[in-house]
Amino acid sequence: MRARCWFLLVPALLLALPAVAEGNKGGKAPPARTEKPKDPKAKDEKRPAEVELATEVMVLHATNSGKGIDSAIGKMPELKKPPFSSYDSYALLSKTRLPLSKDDKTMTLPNGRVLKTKLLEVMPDKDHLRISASINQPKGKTFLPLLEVKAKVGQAFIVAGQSYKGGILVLVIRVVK
Amino acid sequence: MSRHRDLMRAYDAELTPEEAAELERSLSDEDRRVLAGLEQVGDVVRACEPEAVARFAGVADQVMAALGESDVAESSGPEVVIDRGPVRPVRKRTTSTPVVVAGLSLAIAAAVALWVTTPKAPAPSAPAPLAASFASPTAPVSPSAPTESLPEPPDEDADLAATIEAVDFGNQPGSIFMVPAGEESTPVVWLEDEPAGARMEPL
Repeated sequence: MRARCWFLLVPALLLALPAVAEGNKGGKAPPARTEKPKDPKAKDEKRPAEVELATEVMVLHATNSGKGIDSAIGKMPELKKPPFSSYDSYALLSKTRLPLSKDDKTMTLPNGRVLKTKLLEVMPDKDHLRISASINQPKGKTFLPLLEVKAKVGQAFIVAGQSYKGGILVLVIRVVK
Repeated sequence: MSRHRDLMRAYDAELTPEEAAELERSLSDEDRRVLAGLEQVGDVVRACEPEAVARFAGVADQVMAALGESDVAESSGPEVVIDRGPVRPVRKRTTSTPVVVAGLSLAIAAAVALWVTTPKAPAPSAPAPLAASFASPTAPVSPSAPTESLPEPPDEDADLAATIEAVDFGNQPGSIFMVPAGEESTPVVWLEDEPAGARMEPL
């Protein structure tokens, strides 16, 4: 009788343990990824955000002319760090606001090339967004065919290295409202 | 070899009368010595037979009794006691088998539970997040490098800095790195441009 109990208990344990373990695994698993809201209202809410958002493009000219950093540039500690610190002068050539939208927004750079920016996506958290940028040479080859960046308002990225008048161009592209 | 076999068959009276007569006619002195030797071996075996029979007569019955297919009490042969030294207490099978089965089952179940609960390691072929290499300037990327799809860094990093998710440098070399800016960092795309004078302007 006792032996029969064992024979019944052991398979029951064998079956139950993995099930319990699976249950624990489910408990530890990260919550399901939040899917994008398919509510049409969410789409409507995104519209104003697109309109408000923009990229602020500062075009800096880096040289070693001994003039220092233009005060109009504002606070940019990056310029004092390598490799930017290899230039001792930064002049603000232009500051342009390009509205972010699903359509391309362009601006002409001092070297004749064209910077193009575009809003790819507003992230579900409505805080971050994905934008693309590219630099083209009119009637010439593409200089920077594609750059995709995820950023939130206030964050910036830099595209640097284009030769210009004894120095280089430094494009500081910041997401602004 | 066959001669010896014939002699053994003759000794065991296994030959036909014709074969026995033929063998008898052709017996040599050597053959007669072999037959005499077989006779002596037979005498020795017969002398030892009662002792051997008495020793092993009950083994089969004991085995059958142990298997539960026969009762020792019904054994017809004499009971033989074989001295194997001190007798160990033998456990009944009905008590040991469930313990063994339970142990094995628990071990298997524990192994399965461990396997299920252990988090799976990421695929080794997954590329390392490029954002992690932003801390220092990276080597220039080949001009012919195609568009690089960069995996998303953890959220905490994303909050600290913008993230470059993809870049195509086109025909010129370039690199991606992060430059510290206070508590945050700024991603930089650095392009290796030709000197302005050397650049071919469009006509």
